[in-house]
Amino acid sequence: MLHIKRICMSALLFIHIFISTTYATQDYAVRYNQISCTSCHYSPVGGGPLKRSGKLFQTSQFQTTPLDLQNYISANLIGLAYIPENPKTSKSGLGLMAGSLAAHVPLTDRKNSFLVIENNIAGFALAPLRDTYVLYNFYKEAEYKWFESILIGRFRSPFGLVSNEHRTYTRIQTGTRWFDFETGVLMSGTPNSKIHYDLAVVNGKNFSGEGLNTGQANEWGSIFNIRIMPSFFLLGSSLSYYRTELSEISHAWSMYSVISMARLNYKLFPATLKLEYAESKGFNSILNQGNASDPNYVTSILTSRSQGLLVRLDWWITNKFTLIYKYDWLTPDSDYPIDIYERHGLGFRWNVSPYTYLSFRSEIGRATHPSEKSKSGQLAQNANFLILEASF
Amino acid sequence: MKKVIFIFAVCIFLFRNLSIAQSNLDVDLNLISSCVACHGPNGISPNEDWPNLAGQKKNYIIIQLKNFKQGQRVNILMSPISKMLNENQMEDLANYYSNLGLK
Repeated sequence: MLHIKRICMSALLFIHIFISTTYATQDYAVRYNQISCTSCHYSPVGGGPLKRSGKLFQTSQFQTTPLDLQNYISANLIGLAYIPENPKTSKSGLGLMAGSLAAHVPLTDRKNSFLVIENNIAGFALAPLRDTYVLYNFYKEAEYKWFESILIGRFRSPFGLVSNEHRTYTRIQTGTRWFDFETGVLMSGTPNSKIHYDLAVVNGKNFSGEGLNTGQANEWGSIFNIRIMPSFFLLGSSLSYYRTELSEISHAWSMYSVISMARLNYKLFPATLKLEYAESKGFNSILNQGNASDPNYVTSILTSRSQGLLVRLDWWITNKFTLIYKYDWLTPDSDYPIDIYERHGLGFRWNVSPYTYLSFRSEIGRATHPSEKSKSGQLAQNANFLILEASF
Repeated sequence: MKKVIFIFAVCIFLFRNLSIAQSNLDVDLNLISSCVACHGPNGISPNEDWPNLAGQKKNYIIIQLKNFKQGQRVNILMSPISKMLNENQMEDLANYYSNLGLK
């Protein structure tokens, strides 16, 4: 605990010395009444390359204007310093999480269809081929229609709260981490300013996108996501269902909410609260990717039903600096609810320049299953990490 | 968990003044905070694509906000934001920005 206190005191001192102006981080959608992710992103799911409007918004607190080149090209680099409690027995150190280049070009003069290709050329090499698709918009921007767009290619799963934090339990347990991509067809619609839905039919669950896997033709899945934003809050629900002739059916559902307290009273509560509850079955093998300490334990719960909870509070200290509290909770086997993973995290996100941000988090992890006594997996350990992200 | 929440609460208490200190605006901060993100607290846009609002004619601002809200003018960012505003709020915003240039 003394360690945490020292980190917090250092962070406070750092803020006092260096931060003077303000900016918000994420959660713009609810704060600025944007029901559709396409206000800023090409993809209706959100994430991936930004449109010019998104790049402008990203830089809006800094005196700069995107270059014309940025209408067609994007680049992204994410560096990570990860210091867990037991660095000798777990992933740790400095690394490049991602280094991706993207091209996004209009296919028609009307600019209602786009080709987007995003390739991860550096980093941890998970999903080298990322947002890569042809997107056709049936209507003009900012028009509300039931059938707004169709996307064919590889895309992020339209499931739950989109996050670029790979240690979010609700993302791990549902196979929808920031580097998990689907291949197929995605149809989206925004019938009015308060409702949005996505419906996807996919093949070959979460493969890397660089080749056809054996038996992949036997796998298919569907994902449905709907969200409503009646006022200062958003409510959403997602369902995913995968079927294969070779293995067990897997499925998941999620209920989530984003509450913009800033819309209610910016002066008192310049904050956003995010909540998500998810249940899933058939995704626990992901726990063996460095997350759980004992592979035998994971093997014993491969087909179990899991339950997860996310609570996250982003408090805008200034418009460029956000304090973050995050709570993750996971029961990998709902038949044994006493076995849980739990994590409290406290940190900040600081927009250093128009296209650069720093993020720090200090997390306290806890796991109750006897196999986690060794604390060699990432989920059970306390950890500190620093992320530097630059986007163009 | 109690200790983490305590630290978070202390941080918010210590720095809450930073967000309030910059709110020396003669208009409801809750209302103006949506505009400030793009048009700046002083009505001066930080980039070449977005317009300055400082000193803009009051009626022009009101008419444009109404046009966005009613769909007669379309912008992917402004159209949804204008739907959050009622007529009184539009007038307050127009008053604020039209007077900025005169100070």
